[in-house]
Amino acid sequence: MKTVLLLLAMLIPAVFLGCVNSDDYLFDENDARDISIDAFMTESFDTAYTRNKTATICPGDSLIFLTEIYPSKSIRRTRYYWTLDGKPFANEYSFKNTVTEPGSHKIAFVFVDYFGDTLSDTLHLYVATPPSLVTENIIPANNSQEFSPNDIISFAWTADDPDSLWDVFYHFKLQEASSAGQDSSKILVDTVITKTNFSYLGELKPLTKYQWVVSASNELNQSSRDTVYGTLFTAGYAGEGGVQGNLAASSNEVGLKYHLILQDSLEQTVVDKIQESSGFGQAFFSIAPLVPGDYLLKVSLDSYPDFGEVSTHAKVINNKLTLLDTIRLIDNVKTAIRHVSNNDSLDIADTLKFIVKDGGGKVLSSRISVRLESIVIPEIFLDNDTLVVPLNSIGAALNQSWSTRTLIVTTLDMSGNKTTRTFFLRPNSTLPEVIQ
Amino acid sequence: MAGCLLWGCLDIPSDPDTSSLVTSVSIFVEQYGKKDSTYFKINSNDSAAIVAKVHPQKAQKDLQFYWINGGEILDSGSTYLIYIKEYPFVPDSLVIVDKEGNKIGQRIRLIVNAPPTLSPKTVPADGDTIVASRDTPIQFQWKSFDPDYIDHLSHTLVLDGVHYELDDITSIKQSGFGKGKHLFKVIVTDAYGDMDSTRTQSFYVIAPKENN
Repeated sequence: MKTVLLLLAMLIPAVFLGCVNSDDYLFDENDARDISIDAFMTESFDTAYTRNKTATICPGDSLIFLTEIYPSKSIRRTRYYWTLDGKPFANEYSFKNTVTEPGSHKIAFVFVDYFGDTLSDTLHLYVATPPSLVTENIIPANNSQEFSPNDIISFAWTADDPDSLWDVFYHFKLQEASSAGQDSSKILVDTVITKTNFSYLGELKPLTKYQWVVSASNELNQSSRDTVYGTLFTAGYAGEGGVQGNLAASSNEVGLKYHLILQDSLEQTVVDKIQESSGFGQAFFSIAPLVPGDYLLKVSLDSYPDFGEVSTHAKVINNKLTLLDTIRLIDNVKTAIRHVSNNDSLDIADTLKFIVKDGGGKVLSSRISVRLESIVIPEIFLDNDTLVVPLNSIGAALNQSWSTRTLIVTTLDMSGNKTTRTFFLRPNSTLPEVIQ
Repeated sequence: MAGCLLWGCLDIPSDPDTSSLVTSVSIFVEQYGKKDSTYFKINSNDSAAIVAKVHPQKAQKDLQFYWINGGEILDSGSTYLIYIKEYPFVPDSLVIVDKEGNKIGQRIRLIVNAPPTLSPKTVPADGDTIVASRDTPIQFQWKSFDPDYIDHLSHTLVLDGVHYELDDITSIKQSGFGKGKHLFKVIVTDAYGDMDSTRTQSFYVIAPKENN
């Protein structure tokens, strides 16, 4: 009996074992899913910000370090961590941190899966301080005069590269400052160099203003916050001087023609010239060579009498360019508006005509508005200096008017002077007629 | 017994051409009472010595030191004296030989350099008075010389405490000087970092009486 029971006990598990398909437990590579990881750096968790494998920051700037695990961060794993140059850095999937030590750093994300396989992704982070320029320490000092046009001119500036790890480049530009605040200047040198000085060997024009500009950047494309700006002036050939300056008018009109008259101390006109503005009322003038002495400069806009004439004294010094403060011409005169009949009280008509005149520039229909009380009259137009106001364009509002109505004409000239003129429209009907 | 046998097998005899006594050799140059075992730089304007020392020190007396240049023996002894006129015939290697004829060789890379010099005459000269307005450029000029001829010389102009790196520029105009005393100094540096400088000099600026 005992033997039978023993046999049964051995047979039952054997039967169960026989029912199980052992193939189910064999590894099938089709069922396997690859695990991969990806690490990034970004400035913000916002998805609009780009995610990079390489980044450059200033020491102390924060960066966000992110990871993506495929197929999912919830897969079984042993551990994961970040290293900075091989040393422990963090133990999170995503975190915000900074690196303060200047240099090239390798930041690795390491992921050890359930089976002990190690995956890693490496990021490259450059920590660098941008070069800086000391704007006040320059050779030649700003506004230096009397440089001989034939001499070699050497420029020098002072810069700081706190890390001393990166190549620093200087963008040097030398140009003739032929116009005020505009980039139409003639460029003589535009180069990138690695030293903090530059010698210009070419010739320069006599009694001319030149501007030089230096900016710095390192090999990581980090630029200096400041830019060096310097100006210098060349001397004359035979002891002459000159005078330079900027002209500005309150008008925004392009192409203003400034009339410059320069008189010497004997009130003899030495220079009489027209200088056209290059845009928005601004112009730059240079008068040279001149015999040293005292001069009177008169500036006017002949086409626009509203600006009047401005006079200024200029002392011309041997071998120097005298720089005058900006000469500003201001138009305070408003636009003149009158009806063709010269009357303020007008009869109602289909069309009214007004004369609009301004001595400070063109009058534009877009800067004129005409209202019948609160009703804006559309379709007004200018025929030279005649303003045509089609009253019939507002429909039946004036068909039967038993009271005096006001018509308001407003203009804004090119210098911003606003003129408002009110005209009175006589009734063209009586109250009983209107009530009928 | 077996261990001793094994040890005996492992004790490979020295290469007969290598000194078995000396474990290390240190070489330094000595000039102006200063020892230099890093740059091996000698000022060619003065005498110097190259000294070899071996470890262990007790082995030194049983060794022969040969100072070589281009395969030819210049001299023997643990110290090699270099006289001014010998430049540039200086050793490029040292060979140490022991009683058994074992040798140790060591290459020597000496930098024999004459520091640059600046002429004491400058423009402006020390104590000069210059008539200039603030926008008038003042010329600064100096002369530098390098006895080695081939060295690139870099100049630094120190104007009222501000250092301007001027590279090979030896003449430059600067303006912006107000009335009164101003200081300047020039420093010249060669490719090996040797330098010379003028002493700090002064000049005085006075304003022009009449501007035209």
